[in-house]
This record gives sequence, structure tokens and C-alpha cells, in this order.
Amino acid sequence: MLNLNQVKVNKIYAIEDYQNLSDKILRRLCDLGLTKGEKVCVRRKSLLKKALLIELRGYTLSLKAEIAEGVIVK
Amino acid sequence: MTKKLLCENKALKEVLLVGNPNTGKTTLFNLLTGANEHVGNWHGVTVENKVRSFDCLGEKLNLVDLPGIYSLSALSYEEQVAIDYLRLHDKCKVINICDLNNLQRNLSLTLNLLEFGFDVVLAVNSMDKRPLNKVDYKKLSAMLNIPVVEINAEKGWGIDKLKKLILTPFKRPPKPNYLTENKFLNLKKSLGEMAFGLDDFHAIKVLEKDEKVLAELNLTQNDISFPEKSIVKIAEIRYGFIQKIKEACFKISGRVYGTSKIDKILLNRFLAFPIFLLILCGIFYLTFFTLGKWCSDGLNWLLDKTLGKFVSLITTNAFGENSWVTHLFCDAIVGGVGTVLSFLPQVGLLFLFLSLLEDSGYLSRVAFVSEDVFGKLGLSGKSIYTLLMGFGCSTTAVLTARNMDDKKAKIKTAMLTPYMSCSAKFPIYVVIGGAFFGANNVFVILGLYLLGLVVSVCLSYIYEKTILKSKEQSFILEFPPYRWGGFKRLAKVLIENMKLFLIRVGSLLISMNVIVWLLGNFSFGFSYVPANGGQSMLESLGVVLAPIFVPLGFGSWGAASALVAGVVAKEVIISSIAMFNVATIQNGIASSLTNPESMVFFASPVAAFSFLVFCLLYCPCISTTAVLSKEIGKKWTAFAVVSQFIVAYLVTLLLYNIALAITDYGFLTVFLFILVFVIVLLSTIKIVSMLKKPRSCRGCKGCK
Repeated sequence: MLNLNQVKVNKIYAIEDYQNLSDKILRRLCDLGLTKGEKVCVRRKSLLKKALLIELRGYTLSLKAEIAEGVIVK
Repeated sequence: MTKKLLCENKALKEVLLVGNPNTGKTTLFNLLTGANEHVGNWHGVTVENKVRSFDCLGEKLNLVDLPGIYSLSALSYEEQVAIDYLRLHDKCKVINICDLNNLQRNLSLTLNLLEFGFDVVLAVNSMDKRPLNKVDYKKLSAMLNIPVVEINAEKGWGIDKLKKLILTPFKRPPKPNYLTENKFLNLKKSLGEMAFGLDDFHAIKVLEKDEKVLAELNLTQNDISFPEKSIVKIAEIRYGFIQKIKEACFKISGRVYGTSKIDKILLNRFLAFPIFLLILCGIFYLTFFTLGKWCSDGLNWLLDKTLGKFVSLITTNAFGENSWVTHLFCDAIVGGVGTVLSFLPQVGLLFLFLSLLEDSGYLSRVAFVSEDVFGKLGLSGKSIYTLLMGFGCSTTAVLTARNMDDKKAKIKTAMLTPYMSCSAKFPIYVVIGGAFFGANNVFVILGLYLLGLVVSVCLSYIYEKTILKSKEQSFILEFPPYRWGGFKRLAKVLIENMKLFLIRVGSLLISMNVIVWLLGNFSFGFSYVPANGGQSMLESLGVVLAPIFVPLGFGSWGAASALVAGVVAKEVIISSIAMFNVATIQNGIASSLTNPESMVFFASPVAAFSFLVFCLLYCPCISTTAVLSKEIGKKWTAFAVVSQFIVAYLVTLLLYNIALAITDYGFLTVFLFILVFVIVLLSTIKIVSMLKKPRSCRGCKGCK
């Protein structure tokens, strides 16, 4: 089991599942298109790795690392 | 300004402007209504509803600009405002504006709107010459069963076509066809009995566990047996449909929205933060020392040669040289207000640079970079937007704190914004700092700006650890592409902000200065003090307050009363000082500040520095306080104001004494002393916390 915060930069992964996310945050991620099976790619991390930058569905999104931990990928 | 707009023509039919954040809603709003609302390349510039009438091919309609939303479930306060308004006005035409370059994601909101049954006109905004997607609009319109029109909100293409569509009679569009497919029907069925009475919209929101809708239906989460992962499944159904649309009508270039080659450098892990600081320093340097200073000096000279001479000539001739009316005009208005007025070019420049930052899309990158620090402080990277806007004007900046997801983070951000050095404060630094530090004033001013940031960061940490622990502050922020707003837009920003500044100087500042002058020159018995002697009203009050400031190094009653007057607006501080010292523009305030015979003078550069620090920190101005109490409530506002006084006093006291010690004992001694002190303090804290904790050590596994 890998979460989005552990994956290698610039490699493409598919979203598998979610864990420990509040309903509000999960709903927002789903609204933003982080649905199951969707391909995402981490492009960049901030200096202390508290935030990361991901690409999906043709756009760019920055996320808190704690939220990214809630997204399980393959 | 907004309040005025809201009252305009309530009876007219309304058209709602809805869309994801940063898709150009306000740009379209400004284009259609001729308004001049604030726009920027950032998510969440618009934080409240704005209404204004516009001419739609001969018919007058009201256009409502709503804050950006991602779906009909809110995460932050400003989203809730938009969604509540939408749901209350479900019989209005809705213009759903989408960004062509990010259409896939934007369509998710469109589907949300269709599920509810809004009468939607889809306006696809194509702002780039080389769009990332090519779309077959006819097919898209057929698949969604709603009219679709391509527009350019900046240049105004396709607007007539859009207006025609707005005027078509109201009609509920057919529900999107995935709502009749088994995947959805099965989900709805699995909700059990309670789903029978629900329409599709409510069923979906129940499945999405939307707290607001559940509360409306008098349900709690425990009442319902949710199908497994219902939130995710609903999103899958929606995006499944979008996938079909994408395959049928899109041609995708493969480039990604919001990426750029410059980001390789600007977002480099190690360079990002230094680059940001460098950009900030560059902005301040250009504003205060080179470009801005030349313009201000020019204006100063011009004002003195024209207005100053003119007013003194007329009043001297009309009332005589020693009449109090002559002094009122020459000292209060020309001397006091003129001093602030000459900063017009610098204020304009500062706002120009801030708007450049905002328009370029760089701020989202800064938010990303600062999440490292801000996340720890219980704020979000988004707070940096509010704080940076605070360099311009904290009154408007406080409003932008609304796009914070967590309520406590919002309160914190709003409370910390007044610590930022706003554009009303810098004339004080330039005048007083210039008099005492000369060429070194560059460092003093940059230091003060930095001090504002540092103090607010420290306070934020203290608040997070004590009274305002933010629980679920999230940070999810889309990256906009870099954009260049164009010279026309820059000129507009410059003119708009200079106009606002002139209005402020012309109304608030003149009246405040006249009041302060009258108080400062007349005694309680209404006799003119300079002619008849005695103690002026201000002096009698100032003398009471002055001892408070003696420990800070500026215990003159003139300085104390300038600070009191400055509570109304920070510009008043410097204009009052100019007025007290009877420094008409030609002899300059600079020399009067060091002259012990002036009413406001500083004994040493250290005292002047201490005064500057206190001005930076001491309290929010009246208009900011009013906005604060509207945004975060009276209780927190009272706390914010009182705590700001205390913090300002303590920080100034500390810095003043450190600076005094440096002048007495030399820099190195003081530095070493502070270093030792900090080490002792830290180790005491460490030892105390170690004693408190149960015994455990990481060093070895020897003693189990």
C-alpha cells in the first residue's frame, strides 16, 4: 500500500482508495476529480515536504501532505 | 461600495454568474455591467455576492457575481454564501462560466447544477490564443442538453450570443442522463425507504453526506445506512459521464493547465523562498527608494511651488500673517496634508506591484512554498495572500481571509493582518527614518516590513498553541497559469488606487487634520494658544498619556497625541507631526525632528526607531476594526485590538532596550549576551519538559 505522499516524483500512479479523510475533504477531492482509477502524478514537493504539487485531468493542484497521505495509489 | 450596489434595482430579474474559482466570473461581470470590481489570478478573489444591473439587448436585468465554487457542497465560508444564494434563487437563469483550458474539471460543477435542475447557459471562456483543448460545442451542447456558447470575457467575444441565450424564457433542462442509469438508481435504492420521497438532487447530497442538506432534512448520519463509499461512487458516476463527453467532443493538446517552465526555478525546493524574499525586497526598494522616490520628490516640489505658495499668499492677504485662520490653512492643510499627499506616486506604485504579483499567478506558488511554515502555525498557505494584500490595505485584506476553510484559521489570519505594514504606514518610515538614518533607511524600512511578518508569524504560533487551535485546516489549491494582465489593466489599477488615495486624503485626512489642529491650538477655554498662551486641549490630554511612552523613548506629548490621532487612520500620524512642527514643505520635517525645540522630536535615532516600531504594530485603524468586527465578531475584535496594543508595547520596549544596549556596549557584547540568554532559556524549557515527561531516552536501549 502506497499513499500519494510516499510515491516517486514524476511517475504516474492510479488512485486506488482513500483512508482517514474527513467527509468534507474526501468530497472536495472527489469534486476536484481525484476519483478512483484516475491517473495522478506528483510533480514537486516543497522544501520541508509539507505540500506537494500534483497533476491530474490536465491541470495542476497543490495539496497538504497530510491530505495526500489519505489517498492510496498503485 | 458593494452595499450601494446591492440596493440598486431590487425588482429586476436576476441572472446568476456561477463557476469554479478563477475562471473569469468577475471579469465577465465587469464587462457586462461596466463595474470595476477587483479581479486577480488567484482562487477566491471574490468573497461576497455582488449585484449590479446591466443592459441585455434592451432589457434591464440584474447580474449577480457569486464567489467561485467547485460543487454544491461548501468547504469554506465564502462558498457557503454562494451556494445558499444559488439554492434560494432556483428560478433564475444561471450563467455557468467554465475555463476552456480546464474544461474537464469545470464540467463537474455544471453537472452539479444540472442535477439540481438549474436553467443553465454554459459559457466557455477561452482566454488564450493557443487553448489547451479544442471543443466541439455543438456536440457538447447536445450531450448536456443545454445551450453552450464560447466567449472571451476579456476581449468581449461571443457576448451578444450569450445575451440572446440569457433572454430565452426560463425552462428546466432535462436531468443529465446518468441519473436514469442503473448505477445511480441502485445507489439511490440502497439508501432504503427514506430515499423514496427524495428528488435526485437531495438523494445525491444525502449520498455525498452533505452536512447542510442532512440538517435540512432533519437527519443525522446515524439515521442512514450509507452504501459503502457513496461519496466516491457519486463522483465516479459524474466523472464517468465527463469522460464520455471528453471522448466525444474534446481534442486535447497534452499540455497541462497551470504548469510552466519558469516553475523549475521559481519553485525549486531551495531557491523558492529566497526568490520570494528577493522579489518582495525588490518591490519595496523600487517603491521607496528609486522610482517611487523620484516621483514623490517631484510631486513634493510641485506642490510646494504651486499649492503651498498659492494658499499662503491668499490666506496671508485675506486674514493677516498671524491670524489663526492663516495658520490653520498653512499648517494643518498645506503642511500636514501636503506631506502625505506627496506620497501619492509611491502608494500608487506599491499597489501596482501588488496587483502585478496577484495577476501573474505567482501568489499560488508562494502559497505552495509557504505551506511548509504556515501549516505548522495552524494557518494555511492561502493565508499568505491575505497577509500580502495587507501590505496594501489591511481593511480590504481582512475580507480575503474568508476563503480559509477552517474558522479558527480565518480568525487568526484576520487578526494578524493589521500587523502587516500597510501603505498608510510607510510615509512615517520614509519621513522619520529619512531624517535619522539617511541612506541606511533602506535597511530600516525593509527591517520594519520583515518585523511585521515575523511578529505575526510568532503570534500565530502562540495562538495555535493556546487559544486558537485550528483543527481541520486543509490546503487544497489549484495552480493557475502565469498570465500577463496587459498595460491597460496596470494603468487601470494605478489610476483606481491613486483615486482612492486622493479621496481618502481629501476627505478623512483633511478633516482629521483640522480637528487635530484645532485641538492642538485652542485651550479648553477656546482661546488661541500661540497668541494668548496657556495649554491647548491636546497638550492637556497628551501630557497625561506621554508618561506611558517614556520607557519607549518618545515621551513627548506631541508624539503621544499623534499616535492617538493615528488610531483613526495611520496617515494622520505623520500629517499631525508635520503640522505640530509647523514644517511647511519647504523647510522639511527632517530638520525639525532632530530639533529639541519642536513639539515632536526624537532625542536619538534609537528613539526614532522605537517610535517607528510602535507605529508599525500598535493598532488596526478604525475602518479595519469595523471590518474585523463584521468578519470575526466583536469578542475577537476586542481581543485583537487590545492584544495588538500590548504586543506593540512589549515588542517596542524590547527592541528599544536592545538598541540602547547596542549603542552603549557595542553590538558584539549585546549579541553575545542575547545568545547566552536564549541558550539558557531554551535549555531551561527543555529540562523542564524532560522532567515533566515520563522517563525515556532515545540514546540507547541499555536500560530497559
